[in-house]
Amino acid sequence: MDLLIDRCTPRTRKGSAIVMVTVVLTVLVLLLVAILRFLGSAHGEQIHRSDGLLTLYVAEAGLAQSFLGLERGQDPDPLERARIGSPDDPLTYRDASYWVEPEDLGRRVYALRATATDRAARERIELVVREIPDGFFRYAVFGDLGVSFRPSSFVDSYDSSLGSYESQYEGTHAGDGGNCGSNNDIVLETNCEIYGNANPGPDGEVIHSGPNGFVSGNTDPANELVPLPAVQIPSIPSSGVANVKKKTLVLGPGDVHYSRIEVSSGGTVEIRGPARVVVDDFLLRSNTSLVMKTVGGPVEIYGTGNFVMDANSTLVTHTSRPHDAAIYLSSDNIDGHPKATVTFNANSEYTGLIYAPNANIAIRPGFEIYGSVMAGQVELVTNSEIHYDVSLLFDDDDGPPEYEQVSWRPVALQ
Amino acid sequence: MKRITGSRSGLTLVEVMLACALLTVALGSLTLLGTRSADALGTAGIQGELDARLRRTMARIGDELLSSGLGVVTPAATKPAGSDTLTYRKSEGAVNGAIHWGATQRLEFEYEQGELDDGLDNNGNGLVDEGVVSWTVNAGQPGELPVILCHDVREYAAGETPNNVDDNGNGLVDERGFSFERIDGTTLRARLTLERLDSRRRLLSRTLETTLQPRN
Amino acid sequence: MESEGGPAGRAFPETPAAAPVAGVGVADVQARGTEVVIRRLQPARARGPRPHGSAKGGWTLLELVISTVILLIVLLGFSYGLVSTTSLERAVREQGLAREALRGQIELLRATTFEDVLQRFEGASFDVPGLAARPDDADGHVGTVVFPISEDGELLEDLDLPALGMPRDLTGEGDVDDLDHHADYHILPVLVRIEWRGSAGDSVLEMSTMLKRMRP
Repeated sequence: MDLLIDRCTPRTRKGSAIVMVTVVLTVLVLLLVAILRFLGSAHGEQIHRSDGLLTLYVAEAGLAQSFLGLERGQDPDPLERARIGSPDDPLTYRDASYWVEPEDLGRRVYALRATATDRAARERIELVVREIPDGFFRYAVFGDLGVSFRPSSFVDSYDSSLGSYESQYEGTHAGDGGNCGSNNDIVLETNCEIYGNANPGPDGEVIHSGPNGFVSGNTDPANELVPLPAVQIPSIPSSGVANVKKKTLVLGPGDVHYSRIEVSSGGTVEIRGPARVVVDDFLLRSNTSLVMKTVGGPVEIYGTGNFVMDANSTLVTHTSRPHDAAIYLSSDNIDGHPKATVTFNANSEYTGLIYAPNANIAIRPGFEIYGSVMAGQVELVTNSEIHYDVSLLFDDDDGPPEYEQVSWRPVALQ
Repeated sequence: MKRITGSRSGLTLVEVMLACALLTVALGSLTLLGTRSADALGTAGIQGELDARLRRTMARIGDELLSSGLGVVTPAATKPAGSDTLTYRKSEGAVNGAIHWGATQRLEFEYEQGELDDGLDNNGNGLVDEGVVSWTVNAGQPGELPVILCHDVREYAAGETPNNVDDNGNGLVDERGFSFERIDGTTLRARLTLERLDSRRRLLSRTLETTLQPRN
Repeated sequence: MESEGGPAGRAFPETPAAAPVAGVGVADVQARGTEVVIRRLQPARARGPRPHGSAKGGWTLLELVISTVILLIVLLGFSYGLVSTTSLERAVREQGLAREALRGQIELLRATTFEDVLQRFEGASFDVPGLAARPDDADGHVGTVVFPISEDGELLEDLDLPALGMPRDLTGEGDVDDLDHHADYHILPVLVRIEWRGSAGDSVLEMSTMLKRMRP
């Protein structure tokens, strides 16, 4: 028997392998796309970060220009010297735009704020700079061996270039630049107030020996010691001894030297500037006066031995600028042999300077100082007051000002 | 009569064997390529992700330290020890003509939660003794707040082992995967090494370092 | 047609040649004489010689080869994408290395005493681990520090270097001259450039800033 097979068959399942491979490839392609997108975004993120870094350095370039203008520009206004461009008229550095806006923070401290933009990146940096104090008297009160603030003693600041202290007083104090310093400790007793910093020596500390001692600024130890150079006594031939009773002794203008001046029985010593008066032994008894007339020029008193102002004596200064009147003492009542006597018990609103690197000085409540005191050791007796003139920080007669950085930080964009 | 309707089409055994062999080779190659490609892609992705995290973390660290100052940064972190901890303060502007420092902050290497310094993978993620970059605000104060900037930090820097020797020749001995170094007393250098396992359990690591001069 | 007699003399009715009917798997079995016809129904089509091999299904060698070629072409494209991914990852990493190196170099310049910068870094070049110098690089180093120094070695204000923001007053006197200001510059533009040959070919990254003494 023959067998005939007439086959009519449906198609077999072709292409299944291709389908499977296509599925696998699709998955891999999707994965590839995901990775590419991630890397693309990472690349985009990196570009943005590079732009951010670029704008940081462009902003810093703007700050450098602003600082240079502040230091060496011709405009008498420091703010105009420091200004670079504006938001409406920025400068261009490479592909970035930038400008610097200055602000006067007072006391010759300026904030320079630089803004830089480049594509989507923006950066704003604040650089605070200050004129470098080149004056010698940079503290309201400074004691090499220490400073003590007895109860209710008070220190603040004002700026004589802006007017009188009273015109700047605002209820509790005038300014808060009354910095106090020491190469050792600073002791604060009950209710004393310091509107400024209280910076002890590098190894010193601020000691609160009573409640409510207030310091408006910082109490960080100083980075380094402050040297107190010896007083250079002018070499002037002595005119001998002067006993001033019921009369007025006029000294100056010019250089004068007495081995002893004793003022009693209502007598007055009047020093007319410009004058330098050297006295080896000075005694101002009660109901007597010492007048420093600075109209014609500065008055400087140099004491080499005892320097005594009894209670109810009077010290008068005819000036609104403490630069004009100064008392320099080489007297030593700490380690001297013999020890000198140094007292400031006079009634006074003394506008001037006191410098006595070897003396322990007590400032009495009747002896109100508008200026600065720097001594071997200083005690502000109960209720005594010192008002520091911040213009003492700068010696404007000593060439163009120099500036230094105070702080650097990024700030919010406007 | 012998009659066969329809053609006598079909494959010989040889053709079938040849086709099967070709198909096996093709599909096998495809499968191998596919899996290897997937692995390579995955590895590239992990490396890219590590790089991205490195850049982000170091950018944050740079932003933090730029407004600090070397005078308020501790410890000294000089060679050869370096330091895996840095305490610093940032400028908050100026008051009375003097810089005003903010609260103390701290950047440091810490072991990952669940990890101990014992040479074992305590938390079972395949990494041994890995750590984190921890950033603490108000460090040392009652309100101190630690924030983790980055996970998967290698315990020791790339190429470094705890053997009191500078294995990787960078001047530091046994430095951590997150470490600091003060250079010439003027700049700070931060180094960060991250590691992860890829799909084939191979350890991938990336290192980035940044140098900056604190501006205050 | 008249059939022959079958076994036992029975004659089967002759089945006319019928058109095939679309259907599935129904066998139509006839016995004609000594012939046994097994017919499986199939989709309608014109009678004629059946296509070679279609009666058996599956792939021919030609189909297999063509499919494999198509797949290989697709895979080539995929592999190209994979290579691009890896290259992009490397390129991103190289950019990151270059960026951090630029930053580090500028920070080093800033940390250097202002008066010493020019002396210490004039003509300076440096390397970056992980980046290769271009073959045509003059000094073989990827990094360069550029100041506004003329070919004669003079620090000039009137150099035309837009990349450095020049020409520019470098002394603060308010004018731009053609004098050498090595001794009296007060501001110093600087550019740091890194050029390397990487996975994306020859690349360059540069940043510039201005240096100024900010402290006494």
